[in-house]
Amino acid sequence: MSLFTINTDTANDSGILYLTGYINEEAGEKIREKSEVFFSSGVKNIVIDMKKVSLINSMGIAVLISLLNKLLIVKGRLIIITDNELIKKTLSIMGLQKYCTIVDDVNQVEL
Amino acid sequence: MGSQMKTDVRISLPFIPGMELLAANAVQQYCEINGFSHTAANELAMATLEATINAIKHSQSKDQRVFLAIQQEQNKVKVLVHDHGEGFDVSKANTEFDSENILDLENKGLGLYIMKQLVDNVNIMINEHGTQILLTKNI
Repeated sequence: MSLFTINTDTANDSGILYLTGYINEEAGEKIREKSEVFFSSGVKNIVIDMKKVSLINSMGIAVLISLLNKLLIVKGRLIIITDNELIKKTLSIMGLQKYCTIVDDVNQVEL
Repeated sequence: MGSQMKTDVRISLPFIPGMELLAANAVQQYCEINGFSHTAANELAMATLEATINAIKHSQSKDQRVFLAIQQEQNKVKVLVHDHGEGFDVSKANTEFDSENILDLENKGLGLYIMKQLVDNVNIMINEHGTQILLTKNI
């Protein structure tokens, strides 16, 4: 199994999550926990770097939807970085692109 | 997929976390070995992953196993994901939804919807012997 890892950073009022591996339910919980830490420290926007993510399943998607709901409350935004075509298609069929910004590369992100 | 053909692949997997990746990888490799596009292979593999998760999480099968059969029929690949469990209530799963209201869906099952979007046909059969999800992808 692709090992899931999560690392964090902050820039301006944004929290950045660097993810690798397979995003399943367990990984989703870790994303949720790290995001809660960001929110409690006043972070408004979340950037999720998925450049090294191989796959996200439906429970991982559910966590992203949960995150979007929290960001709506704080009027923040979610930015997802991925160039993986299958992940982009999965996010797209769920309609997530209407609620967040999905870009191929970190250089396309303005914080 | 009643009769077994020479090119069939049959796999039995235990209910261990991560087995859904093994199922997905098997389907992806099967498709690529048989010359199907990377995109089609990936999409069928992802749908298989979701069907396998469904069996592991919801079937409550006493034998704690999920069975996979992969078969090529002319321009189609069929994947049957089968368990011996109690089945699930299809009416409670999201098979259709309004993408304008996606934010209401965070606590609901999304797997079946994803399967339906990634393959050409999803056929679910639930009876006293368990649940079968047949995924068909046109190549």
